[in-house]
Amino acid sequence: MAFALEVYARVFALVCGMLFWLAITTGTELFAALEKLRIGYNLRTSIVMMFRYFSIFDGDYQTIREAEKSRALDLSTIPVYKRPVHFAYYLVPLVMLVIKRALETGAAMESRGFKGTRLYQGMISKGQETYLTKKYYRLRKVDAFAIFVMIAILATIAVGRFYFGFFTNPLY
Amino acid sequence: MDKCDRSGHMVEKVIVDNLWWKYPETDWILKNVNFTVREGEFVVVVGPNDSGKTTLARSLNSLIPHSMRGDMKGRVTVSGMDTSKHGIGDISTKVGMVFDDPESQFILTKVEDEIAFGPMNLGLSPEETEKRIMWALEVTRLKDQIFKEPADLSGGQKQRAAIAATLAMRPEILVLDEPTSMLDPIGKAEVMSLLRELKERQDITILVFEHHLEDLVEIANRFMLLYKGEIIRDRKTLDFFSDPSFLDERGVRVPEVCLLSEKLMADKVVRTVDLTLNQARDSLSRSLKERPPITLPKRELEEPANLGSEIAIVTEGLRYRYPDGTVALRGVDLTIRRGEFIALIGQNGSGKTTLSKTFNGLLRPTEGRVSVFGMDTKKVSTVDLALKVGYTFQNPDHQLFRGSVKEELEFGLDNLVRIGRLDPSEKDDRVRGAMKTAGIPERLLGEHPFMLSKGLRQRVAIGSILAMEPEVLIIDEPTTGQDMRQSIEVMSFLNDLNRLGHTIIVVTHEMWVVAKWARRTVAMLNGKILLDGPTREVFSQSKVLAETFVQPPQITRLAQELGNYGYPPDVMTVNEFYEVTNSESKDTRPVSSFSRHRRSLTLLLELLSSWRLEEELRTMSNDAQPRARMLASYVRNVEYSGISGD
Repeated sequence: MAFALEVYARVFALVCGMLFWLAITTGTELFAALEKLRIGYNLRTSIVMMFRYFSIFDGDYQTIREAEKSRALDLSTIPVYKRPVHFAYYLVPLVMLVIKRALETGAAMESRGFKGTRLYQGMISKGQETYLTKKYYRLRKVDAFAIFVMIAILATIAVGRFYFGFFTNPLY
Repeated sequence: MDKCDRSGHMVEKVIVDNLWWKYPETDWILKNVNFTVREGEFVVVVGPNDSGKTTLARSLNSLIPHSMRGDMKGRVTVSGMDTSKHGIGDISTKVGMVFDDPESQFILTKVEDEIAFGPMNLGLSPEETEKRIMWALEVTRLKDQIFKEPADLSGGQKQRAAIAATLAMRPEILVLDEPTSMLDPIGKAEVMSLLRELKERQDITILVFEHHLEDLVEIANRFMLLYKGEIIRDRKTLDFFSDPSFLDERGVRVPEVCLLSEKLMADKVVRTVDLTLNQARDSLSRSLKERPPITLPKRELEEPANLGSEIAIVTEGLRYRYPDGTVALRGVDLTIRRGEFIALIGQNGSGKTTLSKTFNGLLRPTEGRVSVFGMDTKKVSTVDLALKVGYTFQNPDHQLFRGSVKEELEFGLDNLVRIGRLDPSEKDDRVRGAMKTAGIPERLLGEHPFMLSKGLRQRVAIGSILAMEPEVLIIDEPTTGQDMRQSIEVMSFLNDLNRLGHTIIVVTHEMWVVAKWARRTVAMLNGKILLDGPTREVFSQSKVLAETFVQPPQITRLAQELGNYGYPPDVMTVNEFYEVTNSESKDTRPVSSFSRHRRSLTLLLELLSSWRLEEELRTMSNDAQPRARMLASYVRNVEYSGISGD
């Protein structure tokens, strides 16, 4: 029981941390950060698109749920252990909609020069700043301080874990 | 305005030469397409769905052939660059493209960053990128929205932001693929106003692929009709519409005044085909001056034969607040009888979709009460309500869950069988009944729903609801993204269902659809009912309706503008307008000024007979003509106000 609670607490902390990060980080900030780290253009655009699609995906999911309710399938009235079977019905329209949207977004990106980025890539590889990194996404003092505090906490946990045996599972 | 090069030749920005295109496993989508577009021209390409418009649009910025698989023959040259030899990156500096769904074309999460995306891809310096962002925001009047997230913009603002993001790349040619098809009326007006300004102020060649032509006829230099993959008509605007029936028969939604003037030309009432409301008003005014004023008895409002007295849905003091605090309904009182055909109209955010979702329990009232056939929606399950009220969503793709059409039609029935609300032996009969009513051919039963056309997918979605035999059917935006013929098809189908006794509630932005099919209209504004009544009465109150930014159909507005000539303010179709005009036009003899006034006097006598004033009027000599004119004008105004005969 203690072990289960501990694992639950860890997952809970992880989820809370992730939610906090999602709440304070925009897709564009992430895009600019990845640009600074010289992560490949395709990869960082894909990551940012994932951010964009969270809300669209959620909107589609809610509409599909309502459409199912309109056809007498209300998951809340079905026992929990039987629900996974019905989740499959969400997948068909969700996947089809995601594919359609992805194709449209891809066409829009290409129309705005996504494939013709030799000059842009050249700027990045030469370490030149682009509009996003120069104008808005600079490392401010307060950011540096926050990063320093986070690293300090992480270092404390690491030292506690490996030198003093804190934060370990008592069963192992 | 046409531009010339130094030698005086017209500069051709787009040359499409013998273009053929087919996708794998399809027939030729484009067949021998040939045209040129000169610098500064504003060209509109029209055509029904599946005629190849989007394919042609995508071949102009080299998405075809570089991003799509298929076979291409012929050549497309834009600003001197052959699209088959240059990649999309190179062409994107010459051709900007705006797509129909504003939501799908955003990449980053802030308006400013979104606009920066294109210039950054061009490798422009931060300073130049900023200049272009500011310029694009200025042109599209979005400066106030610079720091907003695209999701927080209205539909029209989203599409303007998409145009701004494209303009920031300073393209020489702008291609817009159905830019207003997913917008509400105010969004459409915003985009059209921007296009008008772009044409007047910017040095740019524009091609628009669109269904909604009423505003574009005022802006465009030239129209082309793409039909079954071929350009079958390519003319200057006025000439293009010289034969409206030709276009109408090919599924093009011709402006109503244009169809009207064609009919009136045949009767020699007007001399030219009019393209805009103002033109039609002016030419009809000229003609009507020579004719006696039109007098019509007050119209009896028709009620459908199957309209029962049973109450289907009642809302009392209905309020609804979403979990994020947005108040969508602010006290709605509404009664709907069995057998009605109702349209819910209003801008996005006015509360019409929220209201319709409370009818089948998808949303439960925050305050107040909704009663469906006597059941309080707060106290009964969604399943019980789904059996009474069926709801079809705007996009059929949200409501197709199974691997075949037959399974799809059975989906709701399977759920009813599972909870013991339907005898399994009834299932087959119900499916057959739904197929028949929804007009789904038996050969499609084994097909995957997603393989069908949008029109058929919508029928399958409606059919699957009908299989559950609801008494009320709510359809959200049934004609969005459909061309003229498909729209008529789906609305006629709903009309047939209404005749069979179903209560139909349609949520729509298309006023011609409302005018043609809905017998009652509820206009909403800020979560309240602004107008509720027979559609004719609602449309005749155009000033009140304007508060919702909704305009009556073009033909209704024309009748209202010609009210001084006796046109009733509730004319709703071209045929009605034509009949009203013809009701007096049989007497084509020239009418002298004197006899005109005498007719007016006779009218006035009839009107005032109940007031016992005829004796006084009979004493009026011909010298009193100016006063008679004034009184005649008064009579016409009285009729226009709709109180004639009271």
